[in-house]
Amino acid sequence: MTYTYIKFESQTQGEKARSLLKKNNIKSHLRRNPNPDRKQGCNFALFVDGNIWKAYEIITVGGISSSGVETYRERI
Amino acid sequence: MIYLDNGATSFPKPCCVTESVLRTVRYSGGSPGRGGHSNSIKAGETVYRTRELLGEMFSCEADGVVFTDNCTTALNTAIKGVCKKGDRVLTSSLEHNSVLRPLEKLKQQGIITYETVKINPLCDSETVRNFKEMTDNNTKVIVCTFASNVFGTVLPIEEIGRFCREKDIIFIVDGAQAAGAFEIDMKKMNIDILCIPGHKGLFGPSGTGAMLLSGRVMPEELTQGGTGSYSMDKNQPASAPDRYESGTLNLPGIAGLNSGISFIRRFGGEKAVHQKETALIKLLEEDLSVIKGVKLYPYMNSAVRSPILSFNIGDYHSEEVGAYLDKNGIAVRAGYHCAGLAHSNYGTAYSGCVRVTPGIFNSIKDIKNLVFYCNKIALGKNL
Repeated sequence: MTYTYIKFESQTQGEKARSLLKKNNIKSHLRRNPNPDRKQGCNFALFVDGNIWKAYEIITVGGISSSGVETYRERI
Repeated sequence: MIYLDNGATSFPKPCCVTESVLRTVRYSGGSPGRGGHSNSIKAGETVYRTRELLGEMFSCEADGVVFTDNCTTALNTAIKGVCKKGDRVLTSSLEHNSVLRPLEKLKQQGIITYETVKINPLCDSETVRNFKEMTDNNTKVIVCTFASNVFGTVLPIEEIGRFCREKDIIFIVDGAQAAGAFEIDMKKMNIDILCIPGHKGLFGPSGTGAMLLSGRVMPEELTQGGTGSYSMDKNQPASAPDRYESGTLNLPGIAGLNSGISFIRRFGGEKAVHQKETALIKLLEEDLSVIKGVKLYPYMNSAVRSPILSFNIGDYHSEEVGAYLDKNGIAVRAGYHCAGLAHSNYGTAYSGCVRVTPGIFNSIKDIKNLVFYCNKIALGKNL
């Protein structure tokens, strides 16, 4: 299965984004990123119910720092 | 036991706080912001919701809320994190040792110089003028308490904050006695860093506190370690709150604090808390003022007062009075309240004083009981 999500360096930033999306009536949930950058280490993935690019725009305009949108294909 | 020492730590805690702590210890196995399993994510959610609550309460961003062990740890981080070599710092004549000792340490290390500014408890404009007159071009930081932990004096924080912003001076506020009892708006008051305890007016458990950052100033962190972010990087993350929160957070404490803040909201907010506690203090002041031999220290502007009243009886040391009251089931705080400077500056260094700080769970009957025993002491009986 393939997933697309917005990447955050910390759970705090991820939760901040989640909270902002909720105010905009967009549901989302936060998980540990299953495919972290091996040089940077652990980070978090925000999965959005609906248009992820719209969500990304809201987050970016809202001044929340993310590491962009990423797609991951599940391997196990 | 009639508990009248809420200025030290609030007691009893609301039931929702106790239940929240127990539930977290029993059922939540996750380390917040670290693991990927659902318990850990859930723990991180609880922590973040508490950041949001604090951010809303004090007008700062949720990610500007840094959890600490208590207000003292927050103040140490703020003071030592912003002061640079050669800086001059101003503080007030009413400070607690949690402000004074970090400043003194920095001074002894040859990093800063600092001066104490005389507070006139009955004249805010004079206090502000004193701060202005003591400021020079090398003054980089002003750190002061919102309300004195000994006399309840409330400082003109908004005016001092405005002055700091005009002069581009970093403004750090010790909110130990004010958080939960006063509406503190960091933006309106131009507070750069607000340090608060979780276990006093916010009803959280012991071991909770926070350093709230406006975003204008980023202190250096005092500790480094694992933060759950940028794990492959040897450098500490640069952004708040991770930069200041190395190691596992006190999840049961933070969950309890969350419930404590929610409880204040249900009670009617800080104004309602302040109103209830101030009414009890006014009653106590009225009753004690007519007892011969009782000396009150109502060093506060009558328009804005903190729900604290300190007093002495005759020539008894405050500790003798405190011990007698304890024997009769009344808990107050006697002695010097970790604030030697305040006692030295306002005439109570000889005997300290007895401090009464009621909470919202106290009643008029509790105050009447205290007055009854104070009267006995004043009459020279049973000591």
